[in-house]
Amino acid sequence: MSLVKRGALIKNERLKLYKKPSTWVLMGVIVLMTLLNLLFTRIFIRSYESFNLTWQDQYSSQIENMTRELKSNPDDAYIKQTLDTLKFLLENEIEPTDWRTDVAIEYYSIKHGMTESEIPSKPNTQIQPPAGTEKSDDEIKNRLEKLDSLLKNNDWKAFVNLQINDLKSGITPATNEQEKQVDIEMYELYLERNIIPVAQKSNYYYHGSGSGFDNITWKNRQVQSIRENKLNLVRGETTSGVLLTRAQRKNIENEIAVSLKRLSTNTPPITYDSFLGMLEGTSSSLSLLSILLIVYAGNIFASEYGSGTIKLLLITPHRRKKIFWAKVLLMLELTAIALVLIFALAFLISGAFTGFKGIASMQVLPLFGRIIHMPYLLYIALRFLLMLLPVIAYGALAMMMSVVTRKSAVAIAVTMLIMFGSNILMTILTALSGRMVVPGIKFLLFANTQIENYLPSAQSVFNIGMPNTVDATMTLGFSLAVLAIYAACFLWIARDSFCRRDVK
Amino acid sequence: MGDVLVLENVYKSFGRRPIISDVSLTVKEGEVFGFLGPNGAGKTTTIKMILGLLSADSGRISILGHDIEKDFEKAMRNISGIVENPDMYGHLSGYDNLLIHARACGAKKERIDEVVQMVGMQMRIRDKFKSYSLGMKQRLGVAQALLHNPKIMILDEPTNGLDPAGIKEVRDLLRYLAHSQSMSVFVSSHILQEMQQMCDTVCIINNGKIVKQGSVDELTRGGSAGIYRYKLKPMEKAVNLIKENADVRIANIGQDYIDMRINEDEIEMFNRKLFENNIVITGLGTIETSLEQSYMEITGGGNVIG
Repeated sequence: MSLVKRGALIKNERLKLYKKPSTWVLMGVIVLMTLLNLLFTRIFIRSYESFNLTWQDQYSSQIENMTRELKSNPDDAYIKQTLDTLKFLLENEIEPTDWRTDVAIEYYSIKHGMTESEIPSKPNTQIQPPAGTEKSDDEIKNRLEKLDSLLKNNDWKAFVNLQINDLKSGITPATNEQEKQVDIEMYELYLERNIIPVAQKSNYYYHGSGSGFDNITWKNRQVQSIRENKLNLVRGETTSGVLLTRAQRKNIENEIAVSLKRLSTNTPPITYDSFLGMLEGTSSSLSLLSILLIVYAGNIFASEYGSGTIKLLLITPHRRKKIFWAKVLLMLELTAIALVLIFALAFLISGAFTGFKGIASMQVLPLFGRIIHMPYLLYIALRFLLMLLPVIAYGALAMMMSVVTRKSAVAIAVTMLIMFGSNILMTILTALSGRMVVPGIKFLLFANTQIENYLPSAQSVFNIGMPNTVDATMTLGFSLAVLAIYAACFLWIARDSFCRRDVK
Repeated sequence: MGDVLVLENVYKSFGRRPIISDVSLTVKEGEVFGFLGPNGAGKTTTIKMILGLLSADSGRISILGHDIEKDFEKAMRNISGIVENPDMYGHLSGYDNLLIHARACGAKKERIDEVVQMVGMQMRIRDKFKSYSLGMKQRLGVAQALLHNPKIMILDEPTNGLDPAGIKEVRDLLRYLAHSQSMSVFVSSHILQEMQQMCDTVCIINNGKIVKQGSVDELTRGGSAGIYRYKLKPMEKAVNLIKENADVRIANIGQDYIDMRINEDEIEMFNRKLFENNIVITGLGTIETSLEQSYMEITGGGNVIG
């Protein structure tokens, strides 16, 4: 004789929570804060973009400066070379990122009698060419003709082939065979993938970022990053000279694989100010969601004890564990509602700013040891879901506190304290992680809550490849497992306490 | 009449302090069962154990034969109750509070309107619970307890804080439920008069132990003495006579009366003795019934029988 309909308990919990005005006020505040975050980012991007001189203006002012300097040093080859190069580039409307900039610099350098090592814009200018490689006049003439024809024909393939030849024949010096091989592979990749190269980074005449460098195609960036990563692997240290650990080595290998996959599948990375970039950026607000969940979960049991309604709740014909799970389910439901609200509003707002451009973009990322190619929108959804796990773990902690202490204020305060306190502690420990790793610290809950460190993002262009974890051996799978185990333990303790303890 | 609620040798202690020791009692179908005891006697603890809020250290509690430990859901389907105060969700309306309980107990929605009618709350049922007066909260509590037609209803001090009219209302409702709907009602209280007026059976508890148990008629009539006030003529002669023959039975001597501690069945004999000695009884009244007498003994408020 089961008169009690299924789902009656969860329906009751819903009625209790959703008819409380404070529920919606708090959720509204959280959602609003997320959206404000989005708007501020957007405004920041706008104002950031708005001061930049065009490359033509920069070149012109450089020419003025150089002309003035030439008057005091009429014999300086470098100044003459620079003037000629800049004039040539301006006349032919060659942008700073155009590969012909390199050729022009070399051409005018040779023309003005500069030696090989004095030529800027070559990849390895810091390395002295071996002694006795002074060129004969014929060779110089030959070289100038080659460069001239490159400039005239605008033939990038010939340029790339020339670079490969220079490397192989030793005209361009290299530290060792391995590094030389890396450079050759880079140029071969240009040919293989049909990518027009860009001017090397040591372009002294142009001090811009933003608009100028946007013209560097993403493919070029990938090729450059592959080269840099390969060089790091060959040298066994990072660009800043820190020795690579085994885990970092693995990360770098992954990154090379991702770049190659991007090139082979023609998948450009998205920018942080694009539609998907903005939407993805909203996921950083999920930590706000944990505040929401902590407040509700800290309340959900304690408030029943506080108001005495726990008696009413427990004398209904249901085992206590069923009542417990109804409350857990409700908390999940509430989190889901907040998540969907945030996601939907962020989707609409970032769409309104960007016209939903690039909604069908793809993403390439290393996930659980494989390189995966998936729609970016799906990736963002996955990112949101994975980043929800720490939120749930904290929610479970608050729930446990709520059952054990039976006081909402205590449960909420203690959980918040643990969350924020450990965040500060972890930031310090992460900063120190290069020098020392506290043994066993990776098994702590707090060490595993920064899931976003494992996931590539259009926002985090600054910390490519190196996850900011307290222990470099940690992986995404490890952190997810630790979080799941903690959440399960918290819930188990809460359930046990709720089902056993007397209601005095 | 079947047994609805049975407690067998129930023990409970909080820490080392024993709260309930060896409590056994039986509530039959269709009776109003009074659970009487002074504050702190263990009434609420017992009620909480019956409702499964506390677990007993040892002993057995069963409702309609279903053990509340082993067969919690079946046992709870036949019981309802209000413990301490009728606490409900303040931010919800009375109706929503009833709806919550109805869903949890599997009662039909139409039943909500019925019980609201029964306790006369139709006008205010859509208002928030926190806006209700204590009397309304009590009535809503009873309505809530009636929702799923339980076989037994447990009420902890249901008349607490009610005015005399309210108390009478509750009393009439409970007697109606028990006698016309054959629902058992288990009521706790520390006020004897109330229990006497309301209950069929009374059980007195003190310091966690059951002191006395039986029907109100039995206990009133039973072995122990009540106190009766005699107005006699001639007074002086009567007092001397009683002092000579039954000194220990005198409870109090006043200006024109004498209070006697005697059993109900002794009254006839005592009266005849007075008559034989040419003493006229001009007035006779009850001061304390035997039940009251035992209760006062227990609670330490009355005289101790010598």
